[in-house]
Amino acid sequence: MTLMEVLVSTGIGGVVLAAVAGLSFYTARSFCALANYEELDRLSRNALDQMTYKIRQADGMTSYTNNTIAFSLWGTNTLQYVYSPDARTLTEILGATRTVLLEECDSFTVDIFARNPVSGSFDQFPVTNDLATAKLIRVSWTCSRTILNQKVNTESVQSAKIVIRKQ
Amino acid sequence: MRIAPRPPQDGSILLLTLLTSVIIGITLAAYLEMVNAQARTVYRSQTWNAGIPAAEAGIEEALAHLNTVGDGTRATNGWSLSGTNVTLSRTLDTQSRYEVTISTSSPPVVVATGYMKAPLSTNEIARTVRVTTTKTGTGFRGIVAKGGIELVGNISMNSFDSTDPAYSTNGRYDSSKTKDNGFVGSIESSITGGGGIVYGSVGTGPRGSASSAGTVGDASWHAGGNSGIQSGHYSNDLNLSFPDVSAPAGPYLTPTGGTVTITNFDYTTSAITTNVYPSGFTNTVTTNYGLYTSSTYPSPAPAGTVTTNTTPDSSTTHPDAASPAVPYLGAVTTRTATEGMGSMATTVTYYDYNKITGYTYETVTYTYNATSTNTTTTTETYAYVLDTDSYSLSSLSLSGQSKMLVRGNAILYITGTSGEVFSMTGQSEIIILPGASLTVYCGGDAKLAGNGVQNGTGNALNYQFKGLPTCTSIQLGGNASFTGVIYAPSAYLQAGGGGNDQYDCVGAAIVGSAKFNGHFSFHYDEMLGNQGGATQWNIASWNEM
Repeated sequence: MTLMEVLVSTGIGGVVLAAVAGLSFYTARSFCALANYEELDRLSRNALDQMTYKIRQADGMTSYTNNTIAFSLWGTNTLQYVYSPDARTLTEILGATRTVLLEECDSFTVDIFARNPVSGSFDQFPVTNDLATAKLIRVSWTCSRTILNQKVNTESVQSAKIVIRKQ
Repeated sequence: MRIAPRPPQDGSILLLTLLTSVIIGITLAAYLEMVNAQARTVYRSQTWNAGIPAAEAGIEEALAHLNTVGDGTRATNGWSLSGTNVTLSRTLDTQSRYEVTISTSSPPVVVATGYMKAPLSTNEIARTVRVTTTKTGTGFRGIVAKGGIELVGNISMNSFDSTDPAYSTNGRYDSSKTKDNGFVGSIESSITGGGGIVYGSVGTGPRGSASSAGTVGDASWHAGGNSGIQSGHYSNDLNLSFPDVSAPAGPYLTPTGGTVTITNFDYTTSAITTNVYPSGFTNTVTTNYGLYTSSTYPSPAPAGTVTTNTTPDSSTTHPDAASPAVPYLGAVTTRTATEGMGSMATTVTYYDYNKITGYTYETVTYTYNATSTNTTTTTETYAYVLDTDSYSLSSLSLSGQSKMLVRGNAILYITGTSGEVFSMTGQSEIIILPGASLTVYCGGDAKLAGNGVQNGTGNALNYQFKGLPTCTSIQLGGNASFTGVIYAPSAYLQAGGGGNDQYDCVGAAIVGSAKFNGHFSFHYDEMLGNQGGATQWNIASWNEM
């Protein structure tokens, strides 16, 4: 094998190896992002199902701050959802039971709406700050993870409107 | 044939290629499996959430069933009795169905389970909702009909509030104290005729129209000379359920007539002013303060200061020697003066003093309203006299001068179902005394003319006309006045004044359909909005099980 042959084969081999390495890197990164997305989406969906299940049958909303919403549930129980910006968690507190619904949660917002006052119209809910008239609760949040120090969101926002049936 | 041996490097390349392919294949398979799992879980979550609308569809059907059968048996219209419940299953589509049970107790409890087909499986995902119910009244809302309403001529509709003195006088309609919350509604059809003058709003169901109702709006809309329907005063989401009327529970008495002496009380209220505080008086007493002047010293002496008013006076007679004596204040000064000249000069004695002209002092008077009662009695013979009891007749016909007197809380069940079973003509009257009430259950058609029902209570709820399903026609007319409520979901109500006669009706009506003709004024008592009407089952609590 001549020197020329060694140099050419080494060059071609290097290019091939670089291509394989690059492909492997981005494939692994993509796979990791997809897996993260799937897991965060599953956790968000589970959190949403848990919240809708309980808020839908709440007796009414009892308090509301930037990071905490509370409801009376099943007569004597208090249902709270507490967002901790420092810990990046959303925790459900039902009586003495605490359940962390979301981790790696970057933001959590709540909007309150009253009953539709316009007859003959649908999906029209005026914003209210009066807890006594709170009929529809809109919750929104964003979760994210990092891959190689780069933040990848689950989706832009998870959001849902929940109608309190008993109000 | 000779096969040339391959160099050993070729085997390594093949192995490496195979290994790479396996890795890529496993990776791709993992991708696909993860995506597949993601799709399945999303689909399952959607299915799980879709179970609630399916279950709530069952609750809707259960409530509609409860409000349709009213107090009748619930095991009908496809619902079957199972133990202490009635049940129904319904398939919505290939993916969803629901099962509902209603307890036979009262108030009923509804349990509905919505079933959704699980993704990639023959299993079903079920969600169950349990609701308890309560019976509430829709209240009366002006004139509401299941079918169409014709407003022909000049049909005026406004409102008042018999519980608010600002919008009524002694609980009765006063044309100077009206409100603009009248309502005309057709649930399944339209409002036509073009003759409506509605101070308030109109409504129909989704398939109905009120474009030919007439002029509809608030008081300012009418005052501005507008026509048509003011924006915001029509909606097409009117949705009410009117259960049929059932016959009242017996036993029944047969009403009889008699001569009755009625004591009438006329109350006259007048303002009385006195300087002595009225004792034992509970009404409002107004205290008045003022200054009073008299020529004599007040007796008894008032509580405040008495100022003596004087004016300087002079006389040749001492005030004490005058006849009568002249009252004065202070001392009398004697003064002499020479009058005349020369031998004619004389000395005259004058008495100067301050003559008392009067006394001024603060007075306190008290003003209050006192009611005097003027009692009169009338003795009259009545065709029927009803007290607090349940009565029945196969038919009731009042004509000429015939009168019915109601002096208790009476129920009258007219059992006939064929033709006109309740008729009032001529000068006939039904007189409901203050404190009394009459509820008529009518099995057949009714014609209310004559002098009508003199509802002495002024409260529309004290005269209720309820039409059973066989009551298909009600006529209001003649000189009849009407203060009451009509609930006859199967009846065609025809009402109107003839010629230039203005016919006034106070209260509310729920009927099958209606036609108002001529000159007719309907004054809706808003007090009725919270009472009576169609009672129906509504949800009291909602819980997922």
